[in-house]
Amino acid sequence: METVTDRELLQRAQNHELQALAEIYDRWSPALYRYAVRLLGEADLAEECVAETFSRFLAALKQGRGPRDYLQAYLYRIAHNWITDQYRSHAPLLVPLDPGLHADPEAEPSRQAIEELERRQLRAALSRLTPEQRQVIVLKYVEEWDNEGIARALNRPVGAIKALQHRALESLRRILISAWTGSEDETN
Amino acid sequence: MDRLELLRGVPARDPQAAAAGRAHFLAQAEAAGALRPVRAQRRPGRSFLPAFPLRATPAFKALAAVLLVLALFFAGAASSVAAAQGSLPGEALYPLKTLSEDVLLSLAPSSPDRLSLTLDFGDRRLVEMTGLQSAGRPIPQGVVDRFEGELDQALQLAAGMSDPGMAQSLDRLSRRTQGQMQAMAVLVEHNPDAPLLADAYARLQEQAGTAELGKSDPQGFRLKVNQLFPGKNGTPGNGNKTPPGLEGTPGPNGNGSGGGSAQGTPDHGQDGKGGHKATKTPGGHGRAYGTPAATRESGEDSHH
Repeated sequence: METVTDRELLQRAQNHELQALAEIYDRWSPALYRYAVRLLGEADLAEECVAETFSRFLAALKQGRGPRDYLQAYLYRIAHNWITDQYRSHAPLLVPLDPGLHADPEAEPSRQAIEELERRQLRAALSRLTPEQRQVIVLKYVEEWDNEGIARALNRPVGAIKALQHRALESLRRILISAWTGSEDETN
Repeated sequence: MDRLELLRGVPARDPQAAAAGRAHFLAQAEAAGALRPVRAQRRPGRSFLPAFPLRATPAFKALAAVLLVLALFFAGAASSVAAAQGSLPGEALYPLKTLSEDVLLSLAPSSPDRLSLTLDFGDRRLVEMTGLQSAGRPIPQGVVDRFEGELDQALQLAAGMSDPGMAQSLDRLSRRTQGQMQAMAVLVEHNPDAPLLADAYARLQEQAGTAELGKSDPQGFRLKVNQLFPGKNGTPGNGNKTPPGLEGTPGPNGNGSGGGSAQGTPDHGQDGKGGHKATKTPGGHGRAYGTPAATRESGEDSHH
């Protein structure tokens, strides 16, 4: 979240101090990478997401734009938008999971394989949410941000975030249930 | 929604990809800074040098005049210095780039400012080495020497600070060193027959360890730095003088000047002439990095 150091770094980055930009990159690229991998499931794509996020940040600074504060929220917004574009062009398949996979966790395929399948299923389901619903779910339940931070990332009031979370969870449940049951009902 | 926790586990990031991404970003940042309109870079009372809180002292004005002459010599006005910031070793404007770095260091008003610059310049060296490697060009020894000199300089500057300032500086130095290690690891990977790069990587590992020592034992850190660099005051261009912030730093021989180390000991090469040059071999002062005839290139035995 926002700290005095973040604000100071931003001011120096606005002046195009290479050191400040390097510190910003070192501070935020690991977390952004993890965020991207969690949603995209591919390391190469995640690296591309990080590169594009910081490239757009630089472009904004060069044009005299960019954030004045809350750098983390700003960078996550850029990454989120890039990932949304990826989903639009390459939406992950929502393949029904075989319910029998959970019957005997000791049987083949292994637990790790099951969990990987579930991760893919989760990513596919998340891709079917609206961009805002997806961002609030991931930031809240995967990245474990507080509501104030999520509100800054989405540029929405905190109260709106709670309502959005509720709708997003309901939508996600319906999508996952339809995937497990193989039905066509995936309304949001 | 407990199942969402499944998404939290992420495999370790590929350090090579991470380092390449970092180097690419810094190269973009440097190019973006160099390409900014000169008018946008100027602030009242400042020169064409990159933005930095400098005071218009008589020394600064004299040096600015010298730089102006040099910039005009290199067939450009102030924009030559800005354009030089993106140059690589061996290119025509690269000496202007290193000269402007030396001037900035000489004019920096405080040790934390000098440390900031030194860390910046270390990153620049890595960007240059990465750029050379990407272009299939060998990496000159002089660039590696200068980089190691900047590492030395950073330690000495930190050692000369008071405990609170040193703690903050070492924290910054540590983070920067970690990033630099990642980038250097990629360079070593792509240049397996370049012992200089492997040495530089080992040097970075030492740097990281020394910085960690400083965080827990400031006095022990100072002693170690003084053992590593006996009598060096960590400030370029000051010859025998001890700069502000480094008073009282003990040294057995008080030798803080000279044209570099004659015995090849780690020494960032204070030449007493306003320059900060890394010299690991005798006669390093004034050597033009990247000049093919003058350098033993680290990649000469490389398979590429």
